[in-house]
Amino acid sequence: MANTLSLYRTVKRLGIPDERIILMLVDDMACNARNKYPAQVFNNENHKLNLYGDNVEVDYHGYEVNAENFLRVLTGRHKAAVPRSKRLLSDEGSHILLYMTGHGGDEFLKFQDSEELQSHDLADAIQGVVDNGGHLSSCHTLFSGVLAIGSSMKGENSYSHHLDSDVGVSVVDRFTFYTLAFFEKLNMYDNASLSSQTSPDPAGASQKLGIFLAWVLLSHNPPLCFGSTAAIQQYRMEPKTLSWPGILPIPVYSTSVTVVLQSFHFLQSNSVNVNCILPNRSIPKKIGGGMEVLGFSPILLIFLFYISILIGSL
Amino acid sequence: MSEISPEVPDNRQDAPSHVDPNSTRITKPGVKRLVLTLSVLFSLVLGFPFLWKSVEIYRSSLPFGEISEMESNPSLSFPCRFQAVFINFNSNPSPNHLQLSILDKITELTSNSSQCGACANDLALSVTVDSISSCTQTHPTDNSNYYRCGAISAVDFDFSNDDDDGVDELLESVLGVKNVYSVVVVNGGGEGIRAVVGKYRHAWIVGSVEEEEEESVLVSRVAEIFVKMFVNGGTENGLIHGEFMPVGADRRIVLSFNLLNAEPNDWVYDWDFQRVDETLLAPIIKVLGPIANISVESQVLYHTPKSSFSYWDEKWKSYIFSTKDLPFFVNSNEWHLDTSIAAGGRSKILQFVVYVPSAKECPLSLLLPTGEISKTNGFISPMWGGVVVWNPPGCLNSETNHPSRHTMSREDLQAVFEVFMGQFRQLFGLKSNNLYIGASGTYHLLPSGKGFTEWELDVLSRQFACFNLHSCATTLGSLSRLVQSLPRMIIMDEIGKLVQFSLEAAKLAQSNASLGDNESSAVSSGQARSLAEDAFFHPSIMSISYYSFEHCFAIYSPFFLPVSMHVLLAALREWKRYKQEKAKYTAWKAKVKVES
Repeated sequence: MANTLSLYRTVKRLGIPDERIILMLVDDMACNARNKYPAQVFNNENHKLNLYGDNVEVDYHGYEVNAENFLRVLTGRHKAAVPRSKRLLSDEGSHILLYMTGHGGDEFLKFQDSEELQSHDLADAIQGVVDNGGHLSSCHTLFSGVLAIGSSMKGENSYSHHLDSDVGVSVVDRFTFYTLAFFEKLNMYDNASLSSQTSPDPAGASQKLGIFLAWVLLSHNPPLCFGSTAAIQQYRMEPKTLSWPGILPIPVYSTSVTVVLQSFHFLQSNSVNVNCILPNRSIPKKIGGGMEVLGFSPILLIFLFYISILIGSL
Repeated sequence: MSEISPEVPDNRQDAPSHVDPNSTRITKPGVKRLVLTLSVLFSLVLGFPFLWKSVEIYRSSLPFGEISEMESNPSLSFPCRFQAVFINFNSNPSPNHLQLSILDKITELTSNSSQCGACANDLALSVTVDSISSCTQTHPTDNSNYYRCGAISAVDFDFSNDDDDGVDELLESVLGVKNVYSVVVVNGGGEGIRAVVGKYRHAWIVGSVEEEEEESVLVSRVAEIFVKMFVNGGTENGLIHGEFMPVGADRRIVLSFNLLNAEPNDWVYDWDFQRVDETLLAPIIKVLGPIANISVESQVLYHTPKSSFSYWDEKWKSYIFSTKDLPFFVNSNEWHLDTSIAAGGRSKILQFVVYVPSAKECPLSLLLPTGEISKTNGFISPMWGGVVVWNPPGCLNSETNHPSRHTMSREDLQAVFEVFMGQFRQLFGLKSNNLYIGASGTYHLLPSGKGFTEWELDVLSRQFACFNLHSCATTLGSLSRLVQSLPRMIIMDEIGKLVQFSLEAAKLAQSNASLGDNESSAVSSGQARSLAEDAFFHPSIMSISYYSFEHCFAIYSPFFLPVSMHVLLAALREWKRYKQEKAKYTAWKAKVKVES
């Protein structure tokens, strides 16, 4: 949760308004009975900055953060009564930044310890977003216009950055920590600070954010503690600059940028994997796990069991 | 058959004692168990088609053929009807000759643009030469209400160039016909050629032309008016891009007017929006009816500073912000503009902001890149809206110790809304100058009290119809590809109906367009697009909820696999046993036969 809130604050500091951000947060940690600092969330052990303080607008919280709502946000297929603030109101020419943090694995992401999102569903949804904005473009390759980045490669684990022994949990993971450090160096009003970091081009805070690039994929999972599988994906990289000289009002402001932030890491879940609990924590160990994964394996086992019995009886 | 064998001779009594039960048997094997197991197996197999049918995915059938046909050709062809009237030309040029040369010039100007809305296919031009002595006309191919000889004479024209509106009204009373665009060329008046485009569907050129060579100049100016103004709407290539189609998918636009007081401790301004809404906005909304369904909201906000900085400039005696600051002007953190209740999920909201600066930054002016101060003090952002900075009167010299409440005066409000009108036109891609500089000369454009002149509305209707149809075609194409790529996704009847209605509306739009009815074609194409988007964004098309094969298998296998395993194996076992026993029996029978 701290990861998401940190990035949320950074994005707002760089000028993206709330109406362009969709924040999906399972905000159970701040007001949890075990939180020593009630209603406060930190991302650093010096506790300097309270992320959950003021001016945080959460669009989906608690049980609303699930795979179905997430896909609905991405594909735009809401029920008619859903208000505008909960919709991704993008159009052609929008740049979208998607930041996801939580547990995940090879080809899937976990939602609230009770659901999963398969990677092919996510790919279909993203393709839908690209198609909706890109059906004027001529190339139809898979993932055209999408750049994605993950915190670790397939087969690697993603680790937390440091542990805050006062609160008892790790507060930020390495990927997010360094990402935020990069963003801290950017100054919204200064073109020079951006062009020294990356490649050429433009003005406008939203385009600066839009330029942030990297590499992809979903990392391999358990045991994965507070690692975040942060997949930052960005669509439609062409920045647009328009200028209209004339007597009347001239130039134009940036294109729209919508950010979807999401945290579906559920801290106090009953089925936390035993390996994930770090030694310094004051939370008692729980034997958990169990069959969270819906798949072929248990059914296959039953099937084999039966077959062996029946063949034996022949 | 009972097990007790009938009476047999004694020598046969010994035979059973030699029977080996593992390889022979005396009686025929029973078939009861076999029949039982086979009948259970058979009923299971019989029930299988019923099971298959019951888990079939319901898919409403979509007309894929029609969709792909429309996607390959989503164009509208509008007919263009022009007429040119030459008055008071004593040299009496031949109308047919003029017609040919004007047509040549028109085709030359439209040769490089073959997009939707242009007059590539259906073009008709009629020319009339009317002078005191005679009147000759070319014969138009279809008989609409073309110009009657003698309706206008040279004396009607005021050559002093003052009363353009009067001339405009006069011409409208004579020529006012829907769908026909006219240019009236009058010989007379002072030197030079002056061209004016009116508020309706006509234009006029006044000048003194005596020699023959100047005729070609007139011809090119007439052609330019036809093509650049009436067909293309004053834009360069006639195509309005997607950035200038601010209509939501449900054909609605919400105009949100916001009065922002940056620092209420200095002064607080209010406005009489109701009156402005009734007098200025209502006619515009009515006129744009075919294109979009517009609703209006307004609010007054306080404590809304901007997030860019300005500096004092002694030369202009005001605080200056330049065009480089514009991306940072709109302070979205503190300007809570997005509080619309009327806007549904798919409407488009356009924000119009009046910014009243604080005393520390007043007066605030915009410096253009050319080095001049902007006269309108505002800017637009396409697809978002516009901002106007309004400086309270006398703010340099006023006392700012106590906060005071004022209402914006009527004149100020009117001036601000005139700027908004210009910005609104620009958001639709139209220019806001009253002078158009073309290749052959300059043209004066008369502005209309309703914000848009009738020929501009025609252009907008055509462009929107084209855009909507194109968008509808691509949306339906995407939907059909999506549906065909997921063969196990449920498609409800509602989606099928929406697609069908959308295709019907699109066909209606195409037929209306070929008849020349711009407005209803815009309405139908808008409906087509809206229905197509409703179908594509229907909430039931979610990949996470369709019955993938894994899902189906996981549900049904715990029920049927064990049972069918048992039944099958039982049937096999019984069959094997029957065959064994049958073999034993036939072996015994053979042995008996041999022995007897």
